[in-house]
Amino acid sequence: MERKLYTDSFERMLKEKSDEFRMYPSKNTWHSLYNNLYPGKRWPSNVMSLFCLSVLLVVGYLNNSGISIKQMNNKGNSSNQSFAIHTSNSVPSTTLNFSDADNKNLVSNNVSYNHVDTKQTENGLISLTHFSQKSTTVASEDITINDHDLIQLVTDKTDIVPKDDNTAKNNVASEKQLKNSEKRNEFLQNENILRAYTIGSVQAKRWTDKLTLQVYASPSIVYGSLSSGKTSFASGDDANNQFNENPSLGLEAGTAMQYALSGFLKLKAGVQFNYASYNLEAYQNDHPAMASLISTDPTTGSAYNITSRASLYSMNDGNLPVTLHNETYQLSLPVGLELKLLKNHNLQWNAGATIQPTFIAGGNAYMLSSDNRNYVDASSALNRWNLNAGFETFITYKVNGLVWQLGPQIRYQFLSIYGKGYTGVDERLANYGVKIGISKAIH
Amino acid sequence: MTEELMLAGCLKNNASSQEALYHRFSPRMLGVCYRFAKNREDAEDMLQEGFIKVFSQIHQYRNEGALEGWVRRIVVHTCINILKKNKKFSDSVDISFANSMPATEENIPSIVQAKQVVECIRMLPIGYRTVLNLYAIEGFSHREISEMLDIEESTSRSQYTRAKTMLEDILIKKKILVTPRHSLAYAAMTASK
Repeated sequence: MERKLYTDSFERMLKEKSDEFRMYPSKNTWHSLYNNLYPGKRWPSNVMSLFCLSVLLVVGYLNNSGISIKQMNNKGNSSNQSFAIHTSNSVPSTTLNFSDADNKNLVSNNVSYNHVDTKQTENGLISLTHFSQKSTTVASEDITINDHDLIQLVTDKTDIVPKDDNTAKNNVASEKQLKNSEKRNEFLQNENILRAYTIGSVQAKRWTDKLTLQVYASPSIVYGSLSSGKTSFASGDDANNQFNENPSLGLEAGTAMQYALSGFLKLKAGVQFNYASYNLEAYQNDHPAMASLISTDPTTGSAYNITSRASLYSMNDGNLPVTLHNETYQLSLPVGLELKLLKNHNLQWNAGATIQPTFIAGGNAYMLSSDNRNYVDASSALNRWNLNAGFETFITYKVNGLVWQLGPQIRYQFLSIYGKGYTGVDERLANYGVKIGISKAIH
Repeated sequence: MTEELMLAGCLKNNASSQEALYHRFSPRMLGVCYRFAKNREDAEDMLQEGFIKVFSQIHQYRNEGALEGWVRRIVVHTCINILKKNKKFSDSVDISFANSMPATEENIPSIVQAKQVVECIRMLPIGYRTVLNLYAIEGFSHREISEMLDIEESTSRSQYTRAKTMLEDILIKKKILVTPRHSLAYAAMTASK
């Protein structure tokens, strides 16, 4: 009977103690389970794919927008009139295409310039030596211009109109054709149309000329800066003084569009991926200890909740020294300015700064408990949104239309990596890296 | 979220209801898996597989008894299936092994808690541990255990007896259990209450 009683109580003890026992699974377990349950809704792979696709589409569109507009205009108007400029030297011939646009003046004038022969003079300007006019009605309202420099010359009235008699004498054929003063006057009257077109087109061309596509990458070293938050169980020194935190590697990669505001200032915006990690030196114990985290009560917003978590990792004492690896994957939209400081031929020295709204796509984080004794797995406490600032200075070198850049950069995080609810610990990351980039003007 | 709402959501394959159910039961279920598993990683794998079965078979739950009990039964069966698949039962030890279990001073926990008892259970060889878990903690009969593990009923009984003796010795060496043969008291119970 005694044995029976003992047996019963022993088994009861086993059952009670076993039932009391709880373990908290890592967040990855739920993610993995979710992916198993919903293989079609995997996250963040779907979001990332969509994001990458969008970036590719935007970059592709920006790269080809000039060509596509011209192609569309050509397709849309079969009666386009060609305005050709032929040069006697090796300068490639240029064609002005009249197509759909907004300039009503041209429609009202109903005049087109079909053929203009030019010859390059010694001083580099192109003088008009021959023109002929057709009675073709201009049905289109725009000009697409391929050779920017030539058109600038054509827009100058003095270049188009052969005021200089010597020029006419040099070319007998052109002199004969210029005898018709009415036609000449008509040409002069309508020259303002050409000016209007060319100015508008040149402005459009300049806008696209100011765009540059940049791709860059930057290996970096990441430092964590820890401080105790507003509330902590620990007394005495700041946590950073007791805390054994080591820098680790980070990586940044991104693409940006730059727009030249002036000769020395560029506005830039883009998308950027960052991987940031740092290490914590800790001790692993055989048995988990209960660690407390102070957090803001989500219902009241002011009172504090104390959450208990099991932790195997201690800051100062334990059986086995281990290194805990904290890491985050971040997506940012950097927006900023770039300033040209010095220029010498192909070499240039620049400085830049960006502000980077950042989304933390994922990561792994061990947080210091509120008594500054244990490290607690706090991946779920990661702040999903953050704000970073980047500062850089770099040397660029232009070769074969590509601009290579190299220089140091600093990236600093403004908000704690942990959510606002966790007030016990405040940790921010700083990256020190070397940025390598390549840029190309978009035509 | 109430249990009824969670259940209704899970029946409609609602992800947030599934997550709520998972978060409600996973700490205790992971504790169950941990007693069967070799390490934490294996336990999390068991838990994951267990919950996949829970969500795929939730329509079979008849509201007879607590939902937690039903979930637990599925998780336990999942653990057993995984152990059987990995042929974990092939290794068994003689009862004399219990007397040679190392129980050095540094391994003795300073605070008596449920975790210590579970860790002591986990020190048993896998065959003993599984039978002890199923019989003493999960409440299965020896006949059910013999069917679950594809062993003789008598084997289940003898394994359990040996497991219990071995566990007693471990608990005594760990100073969790005091004078077990002559007293009903044990330190763990008193310490926790």
